[in-house]
Amino acid sequence: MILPAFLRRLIARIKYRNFERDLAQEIETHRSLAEAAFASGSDDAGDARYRAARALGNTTIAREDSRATWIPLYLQQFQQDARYALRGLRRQPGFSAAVVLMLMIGLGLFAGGYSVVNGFFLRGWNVPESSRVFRVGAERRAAPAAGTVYDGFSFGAFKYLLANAKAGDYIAMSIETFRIKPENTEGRGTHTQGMLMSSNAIETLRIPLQRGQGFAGVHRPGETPRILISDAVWRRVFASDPNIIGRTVRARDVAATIVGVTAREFDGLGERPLDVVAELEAAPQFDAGVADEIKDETRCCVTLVGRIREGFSRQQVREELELLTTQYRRALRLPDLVVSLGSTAPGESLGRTKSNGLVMALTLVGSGILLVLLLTCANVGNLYLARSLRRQREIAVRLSLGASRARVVRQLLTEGLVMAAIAGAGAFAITTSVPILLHMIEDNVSMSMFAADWRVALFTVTGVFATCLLVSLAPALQTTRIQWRGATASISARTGQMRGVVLAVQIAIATVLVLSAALIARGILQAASAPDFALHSTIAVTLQVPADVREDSKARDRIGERLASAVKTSDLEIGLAGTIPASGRAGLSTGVNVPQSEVEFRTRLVPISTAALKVLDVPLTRGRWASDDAKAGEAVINETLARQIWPDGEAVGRRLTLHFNKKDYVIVGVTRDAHLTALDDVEPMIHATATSGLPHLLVRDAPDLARRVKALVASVDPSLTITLTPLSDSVRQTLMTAMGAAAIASALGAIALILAIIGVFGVFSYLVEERRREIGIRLALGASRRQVRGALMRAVRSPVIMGLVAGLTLSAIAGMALRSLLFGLSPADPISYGLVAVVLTAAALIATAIPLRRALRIDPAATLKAD
Amino acid sequence: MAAVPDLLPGTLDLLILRILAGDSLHGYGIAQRLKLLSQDVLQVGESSLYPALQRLLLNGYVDAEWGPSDNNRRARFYTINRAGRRQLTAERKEFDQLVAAIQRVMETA
Repeated sequence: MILPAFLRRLIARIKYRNFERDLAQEIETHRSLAEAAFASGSDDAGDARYRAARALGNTTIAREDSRATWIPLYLQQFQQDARYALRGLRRQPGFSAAVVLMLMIGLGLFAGGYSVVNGFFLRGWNVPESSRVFRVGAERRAAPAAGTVYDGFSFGAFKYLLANAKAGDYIAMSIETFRIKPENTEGRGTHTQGMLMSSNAIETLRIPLQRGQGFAGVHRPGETPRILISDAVWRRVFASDPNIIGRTVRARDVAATIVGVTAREFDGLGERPLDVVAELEAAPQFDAGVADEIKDETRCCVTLVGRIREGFSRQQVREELELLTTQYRRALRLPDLVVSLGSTAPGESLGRTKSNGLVMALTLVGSGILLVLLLTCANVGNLYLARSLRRQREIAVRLSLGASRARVVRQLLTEGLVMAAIAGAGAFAITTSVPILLHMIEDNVSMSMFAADWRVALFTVTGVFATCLLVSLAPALQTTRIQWRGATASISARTGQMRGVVLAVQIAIATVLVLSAALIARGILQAASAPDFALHSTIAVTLQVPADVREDSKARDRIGERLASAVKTSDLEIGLAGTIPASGRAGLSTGVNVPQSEVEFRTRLVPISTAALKVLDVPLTRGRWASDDAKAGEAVINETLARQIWPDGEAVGRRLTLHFNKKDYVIVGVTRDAHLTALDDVEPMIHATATSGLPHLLVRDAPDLARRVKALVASVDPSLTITLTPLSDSVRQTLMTAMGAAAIASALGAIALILAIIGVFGVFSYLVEERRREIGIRLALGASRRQVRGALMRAVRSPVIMGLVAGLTLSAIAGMALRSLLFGLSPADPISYGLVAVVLTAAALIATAIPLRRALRIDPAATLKAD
Repeated sequence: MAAVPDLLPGTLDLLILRILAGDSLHGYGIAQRLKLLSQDVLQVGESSLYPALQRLLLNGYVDAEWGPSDNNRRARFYTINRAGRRQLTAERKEFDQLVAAIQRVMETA
């Protein structure tokens, strides 16, 4: 059998990989054999050696030709260039360090940003063959205005799928939290993130286990529920107990048997850490949120996830799913569902509004990062251009020795690539720290979703090549365009022009980034200092009750009632609130719908009394205040919710039903929108009287407040203790999210500013360097220092003006895009613009001061002597 | 080194394959055989054999094996293999056609 050509070549490459050593030895043998042959014909040993060498001919050419057989020429030249570049790197450590550092910052941000996008939108769950795992989406096509129709798969539908599907395996699940502790121990146990999953989930998802068998067989009602725990819980809560399997523990104060410990490397599904997995079938025992859906199998909804079976396509699975869903629902006379297969990437599991918000935030941050990368490239490109002046002789010599322009350009590109590659390696290292950084911000998020993977690596490599081209191609082309003047050569004057353009780009980008940062920061500060409710004059009072009352809900309710009546007769401006406004996402998010309609809206219940709303200075725009009597079932809503449910009708007098307590309310009034929960967007809100439990008090600041409040509370129950906090303290919590955005924007702005300073400094220094002789002569001829300074400034004037004009134009556009992050601040905020003008002027002064000083210190005598 | 008549491109590979078809030889041996058979007309600079040999190795037409030479030095012996023989037949046919064509032109033009 004769092997195909490519295979023969491959084998030869492996078999003769030491071709250079072999060849050298072979030629040596050849020489000695030839010498021996010649020597046998004469007595002169020297003559024989000479004749043998002649017969052999030029062995260097032979060796080079042989090398070219094995290694293509371009690869050899690449090796040479790379080696040359590394030598150059060592020769100019300062320049190289500056270039590599800047590129590393740019590429690091680039790759780091991508790994976040990757984590949210591209990467599926951390299970084997996750590309075959899908999330089932279900939607009912109604035409709701802003609401949705709550519908999906019931547990019964899941069982029907499980029994009939041939193309996919399905699991049902629901998110839960568990408090877990060893049996017979005190305390409430450790709070953990968990899920209820149908008992086939472990084998279907192929969640790796380090101990135990997982759920074998289906859970039967009445049996002790079985749970799986994560490696972290096993270590932390159960001290790595080797006999953990079969041990009975308390989960949510229910006895449960541990049947498995997940593998150490498995740390959750998507963004969600998974510390405890319990059987979905045991949901009623755990009194879980989906308990009703498990007991009544026709009730919606459970979350469905599937895995495509071997040998089937996504398309087949979708069609089968559609068919089976329709069959099941038609049999029960339910309206049709539109089903879809989504990926398991975390970004897809968010609701549409959240997901849109995330996409927008990522787009903005991404654009900022791209601008910084561009700025980095401009900086580095300018450094290359400036350096090319120094290398002009070297390149001219190479060209005149016969190197083609293409060859020299390739050499310069290779040098750029070496720098970019070193920076890229550093940048990839930075991205591996992304999960750790994110974990510091938000420790409820699973880290592994942001870990650098092959996609991030590929993206970084692409970034390296792109930046290399962007940074070194233009300088390389410029530098090799030599103008011959007799025996000497000089580089075209166009490098100067090009440096001007690059400088303008730098200034423009820096302006955009700094201005965006200023706008965002100003917006937040403004929101915090001038809110649309009485933030600064309101004090929140939190009540603490003795431990025995805390456990007794009836006692708490009694205190609440007595407090409500005491507040009414108090001479303080004081009201009750179920939650403290402006402390993070205060209140309870719940669905709401209008009677006789299936369309569901989301709203936030912020239980607060009329008196408290008055303390907060939130006025009514129509209708009247609600009665404080909970039995009246009256509520006020804010304008946002009114607009959403009744876009073109009167809200006052209408009824609606809250899902969480399934209670009907009559809308008696509409309040003006106020940022009571979050500072960015006003959420749709409903205010009803605090239903149960111990309320907080909101009181307007007054002289001797602490004592008077204490007296008031003591009159209700002497055992109560109180804490007073200004409301503006709790708003700081809310500000944290916005501060995050501001911090990112400011960091990007600061990096941009530093890069721009370095860039201007570099350009200006080289300008001075280039003109050292000219300046010396001018000074010698009697020019004043001011004239010299003026001449230097004129040289950079037009790029600076061009850059500023472009930057301000782009900033205006960026301001529009940022509108939603500005908390109502005008994108044309004069203070921000003024601030940026000051900052940029200061930066320009810093960047030009040192080179200017150097220029003005030039000694005319020394310059003249130097020639 | 005597003036070397320009070989047609690719002919050196063909000649080496033909020489190896008879026997396994090392580089020096191939050079000697070439000189002998061509009656000293085809005297290549002997080291220029080696790029050709490397090419044949890479293409998998010959195999190389280290062994002792006549004067007991380590020499590398080349052996033609089946792929090489097939290549030789094919190239030889082409070469014959080419020579015949040239001859026809020379005689009839």
